[in-house]
Amino acid sequence: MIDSSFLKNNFISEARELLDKLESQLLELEKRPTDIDIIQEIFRITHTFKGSATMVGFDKIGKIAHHLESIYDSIRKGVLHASGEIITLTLKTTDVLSLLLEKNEELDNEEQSEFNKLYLEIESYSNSNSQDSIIENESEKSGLNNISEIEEKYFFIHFKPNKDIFIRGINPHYLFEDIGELGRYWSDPRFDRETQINQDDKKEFSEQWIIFLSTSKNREDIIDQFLFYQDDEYEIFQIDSENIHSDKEFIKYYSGIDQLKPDVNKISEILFGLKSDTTPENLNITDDDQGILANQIPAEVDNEDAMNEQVFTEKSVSVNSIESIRVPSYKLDELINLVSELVIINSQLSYQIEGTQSAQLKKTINTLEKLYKQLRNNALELRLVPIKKITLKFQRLVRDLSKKLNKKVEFITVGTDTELDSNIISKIESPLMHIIRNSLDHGIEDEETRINQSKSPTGIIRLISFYSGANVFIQVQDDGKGIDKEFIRKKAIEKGIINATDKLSDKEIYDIIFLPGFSTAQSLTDLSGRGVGMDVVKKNIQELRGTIEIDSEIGLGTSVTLKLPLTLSIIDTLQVNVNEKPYLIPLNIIDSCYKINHSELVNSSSKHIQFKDQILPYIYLREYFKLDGEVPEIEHLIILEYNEKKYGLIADKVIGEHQAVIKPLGPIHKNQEYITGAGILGDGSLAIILDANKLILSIKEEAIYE
Amino acid sequence: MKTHYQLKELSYLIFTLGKEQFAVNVNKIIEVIRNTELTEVPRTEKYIEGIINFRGDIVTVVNTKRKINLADKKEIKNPVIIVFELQFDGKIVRLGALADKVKKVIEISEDEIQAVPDFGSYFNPEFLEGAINTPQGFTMILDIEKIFSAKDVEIIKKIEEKQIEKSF
Repeated sequence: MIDSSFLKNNFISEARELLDKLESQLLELEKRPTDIDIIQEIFRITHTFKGSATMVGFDKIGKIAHHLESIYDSIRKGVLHASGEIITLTLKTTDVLSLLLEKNEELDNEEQSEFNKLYLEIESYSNSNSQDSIIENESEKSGLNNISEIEEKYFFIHFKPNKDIFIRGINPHYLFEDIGELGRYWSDPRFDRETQINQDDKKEFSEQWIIFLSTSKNREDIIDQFLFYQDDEYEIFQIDSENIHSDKEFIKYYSGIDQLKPDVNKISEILFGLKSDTTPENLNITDDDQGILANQIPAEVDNEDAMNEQVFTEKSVSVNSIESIRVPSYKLDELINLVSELVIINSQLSYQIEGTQSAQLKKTINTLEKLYKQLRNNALELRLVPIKKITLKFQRLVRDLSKKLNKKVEFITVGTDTELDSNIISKIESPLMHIIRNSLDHGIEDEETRINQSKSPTGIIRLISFYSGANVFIQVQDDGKGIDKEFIRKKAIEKGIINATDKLSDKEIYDIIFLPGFSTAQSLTDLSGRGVGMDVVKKNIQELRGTIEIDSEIGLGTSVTLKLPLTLSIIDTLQVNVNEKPYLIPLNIIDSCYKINHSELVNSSSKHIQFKDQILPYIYLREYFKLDGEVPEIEHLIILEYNEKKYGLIADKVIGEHQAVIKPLGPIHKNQEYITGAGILGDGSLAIILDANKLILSIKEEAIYE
Repeated sequence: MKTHYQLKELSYLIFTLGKEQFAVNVNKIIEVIRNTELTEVPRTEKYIEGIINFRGDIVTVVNTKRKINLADKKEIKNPVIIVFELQFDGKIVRLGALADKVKKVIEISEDEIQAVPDFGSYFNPEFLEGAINTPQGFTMILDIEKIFSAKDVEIIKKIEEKQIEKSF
């Protein structure tokens, strides 16, 4: 048996993908509300979503998706129009759906009431506009009664999905749900038992059904239910129940299926059974397609669980194999670890054979080294994710926000194929959100102002990403009003951040924006002024070992540029020794290094040291680490720069630059905030990587303490 | 044909700490390492000996004598490191434990394991799974998961919480 949580998790990742697709289709639909292809696609997504959700027991999600499906069914049939209202409602619904997914359907009170409100809203849409939506429990009886009052038609359907049905990502069992919407039916599965047992490729499907349907609907309505199927996968005959004997075409076809003459009496019995209100033994009321299948499967395979399980596993396999393979990230990490280790071992090997005469051996090891390095690069690339993954959310943000602010804005993305480590991608999302929000709120002017300045009435926000060296640049540009340097200057003076006499370069003025407590928004809006400012954005980017810069031209617009490392797992460091043991310090925070006499330190009593014209607080690593051992006469002062301020760090010796792969230290260590992890040196041994930002914080603390 | 009820055969690794002899279930052992260079971690717990590079991963090595508070704390020259793979809160954690000498692996059946006698407890009896009589003498079976989880689980959690806070 497959564990149900496995199915759920599988569904959750599938559902996230579907929701993303849904969202992007909705945004497209908004631009072209009558595009039938988009509407069909949305309908298909909601249909799949509903089926999978119900199957794994997400009832709330299933219900919502059901109503969405009904709404878009009505739209594609032309009963409803894809109004802005509906699109907004659907977008809101996707938010609720992802919340439900995230919370495993367990909502708190506030969320629950939000949910109820939204549910009523979509329910009213779906009920008022779709006459033939799935029969709900309470409406079921009346619906069926109506059917028997209206003129009944009888259909014979031969449903024979092709073998590749699962590969196409379709679960044929949903068809019965759809057929059930039309009326009452009787179905009988036909297994091609031989192929069932012999097939090696599990993805192949070899089941057929014959279905008798009693309905008031027409042939076209039935064909509609086969939307996902190809023409050769079904055959529909309207039959005359009173006079089956004379329907030659039907009898001929039916004989072809079973190689048997149809038992006409039996068929009549079935058809009359469908009509009458008494329920014959093998008549199925159509609210539960699983039950139907279980009942109708021949005794040998009469096992509901086995059946469902088979269907579901096959389905999930096929869904995954379409576009990508989902692998837990720890497996990738493990692979990268092992491959990196191979590279190190190999370099040790080549060191050990240095004395050897065998040119052949040397050559072999050199070739190995090249292969290992390539292997490592390939492995590292597996972790990279295109920035596309998050831009959709920005699209949505711009859409919602521009409506709210009543501004016309177009959002353009360039270079969304640029790839970044998946850890970084997830961590730049909210800083970028913030920046885009700022552009919309403070950058882009309202329509009137823009027209007055003879700008295009629609503002433009661009998100541009590109590679440069070992870095990725992400730029958010807007063609708004730009940043008023004088205004910032005045405000900074007002707040005592700078002196009125200070002469600042443009860059220095823009950098003020990143200082804590500086906010230029004149009025607190819904969007900004919530206490999260550009200083937090900068901090977050710095934690990723990136930088952020602003450039602006008044009247023309502003651009914010992020510079990020390709991956978080590799870091450029400076190797220093303390007590003969190596330690690594991230290079991006180091300003410069100097030799220093130990006596100078002895004389400075208050953990501050004279450096050029400044007095700097410092940390004495030997003491900080509580290491004994002989103190060298000449030590090294390493100047760190953080937030425009300088700090000192004292080590025995500076060894040189080292590019290290960061490994987390593991959870058991205590008081380790100042350690980022450990890096593996060229000989395979380990060195502690210091978290310079945290070290500086403790410098501050210690300095205050003194 | 065997007609009697088969008791489970269990494998234990016998090792020494000072003069004492201990056993530990081999299920959780990945490897026994000799002659590996340890890197010290400054300012950490006293019972942590350092970290090693184990198959490209960082593994923390614990000084077992200090951790279980053994009377004989004398350090020996070339200790071996037994690397365990343990589960804490569903998470897999690899840890190394220092041992003076690794002797051999023995097979015993379940019913040979005796209850832990009262030692007047010079170390925590909770750390013991039981005891066995072997040709090499009386041997205590260590419950390695309990030893490492004693209060470190809290530390683990705290650190994880911090990491969560960090990743906003």
